[in-house]
Amino acid sequence: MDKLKIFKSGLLKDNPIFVQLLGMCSALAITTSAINGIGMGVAVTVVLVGSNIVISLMRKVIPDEVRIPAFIIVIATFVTIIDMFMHAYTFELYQSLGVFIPLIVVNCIILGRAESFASKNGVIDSIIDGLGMGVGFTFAIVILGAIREFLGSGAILGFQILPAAYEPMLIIILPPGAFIALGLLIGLVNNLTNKKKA
Amino acid sequence: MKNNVVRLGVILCLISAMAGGVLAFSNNITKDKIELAEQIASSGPEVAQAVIPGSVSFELSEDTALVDKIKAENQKFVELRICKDTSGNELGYGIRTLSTVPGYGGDVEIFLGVTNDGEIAGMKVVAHAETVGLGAKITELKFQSQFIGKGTDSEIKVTKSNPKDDEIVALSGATFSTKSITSAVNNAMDIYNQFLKK
Repeated sequence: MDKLKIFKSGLLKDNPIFVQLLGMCSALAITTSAINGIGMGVAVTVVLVGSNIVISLMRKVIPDEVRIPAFIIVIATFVTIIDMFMHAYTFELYQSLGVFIPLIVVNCIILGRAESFASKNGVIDSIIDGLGMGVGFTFAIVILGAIREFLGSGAILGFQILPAAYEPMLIIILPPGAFIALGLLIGLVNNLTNKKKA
Repeated sequence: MKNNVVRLGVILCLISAMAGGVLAFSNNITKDKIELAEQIASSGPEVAQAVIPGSVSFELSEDTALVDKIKAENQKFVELRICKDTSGNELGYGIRTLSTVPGYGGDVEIFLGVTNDGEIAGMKVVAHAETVGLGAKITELKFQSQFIGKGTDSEIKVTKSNPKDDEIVALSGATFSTKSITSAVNNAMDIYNQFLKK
């Protein structure tokens, strides 16, 4: 039961994008299409689970004074591995995500979970926490990407849905559109969660 | 105190060494795959087919003196390939060049296919950083087909509507990207006229 709670906390209650507003840089920059959101989400989830496992295992070995550099080394290692594997096996996705894959290193969700969860909890709980946060992040940016792709080009996942006569809302694809769409989404999520409480 | 510094240093050093080992290992696995993926993306059979329809092989030109001469005189030129069909007939040239006018996200890199008759047969965008949904449409056949069939005698210009023989219609909302790819096409045509025309 407790484990389910940890997972659900990342997915909904403490969703990294909608609630904690962490990892905004990549979330805003790459969500021009749903497939980018999926690729980024999966990459972040893998790094998150991997670094949570290693940091949780080493939490008694790493001295407190150097824990931040140690965490960064672990995270950077996972990110570099992901970067190489995506370059080798998912070339097109790798090209469209560009510099934002190496930038996962400085994604605050990952360092945040290492510091506030994995360094204080056991391996199993840390895996579940990483999965919950990762899936929550993926879920949020895929929705954001799908909305922007739909309004900005009339397609979802590359499939044209609206007729060609549809005049795309260009602003949604451009950077300001990322802020507008994210703001409206967070407002909607807050509205829904507040209603539940009342 | 001093002891502690040494202890922390050694621990960080050990963690880094482990990270280095893991990275070396995954680099070993992915190295060849990455090279292959890069090669297919830039000069595989799919690219040959797009550059000059009907061609299956896409060999680097062996005339190194000529290639060196083009390189010396045209800074945006990247490489020259010869397109051949299944029976080995030369169909024309694949000229790889950067744009002379930068797009919204830097230079656009293309392969332009010019047949032996001096006609544009096709093209392939090898690298670009244009906005998804806007400038990235330069990679779509719908836009590129405007260039196909044009002669290399006169420079191609960009217009908003009602194109004449030597004009193409700009992508709406992406004039910069259109101008950039057109400059790359014009540069490739210059190279053809100056060095390759028989």
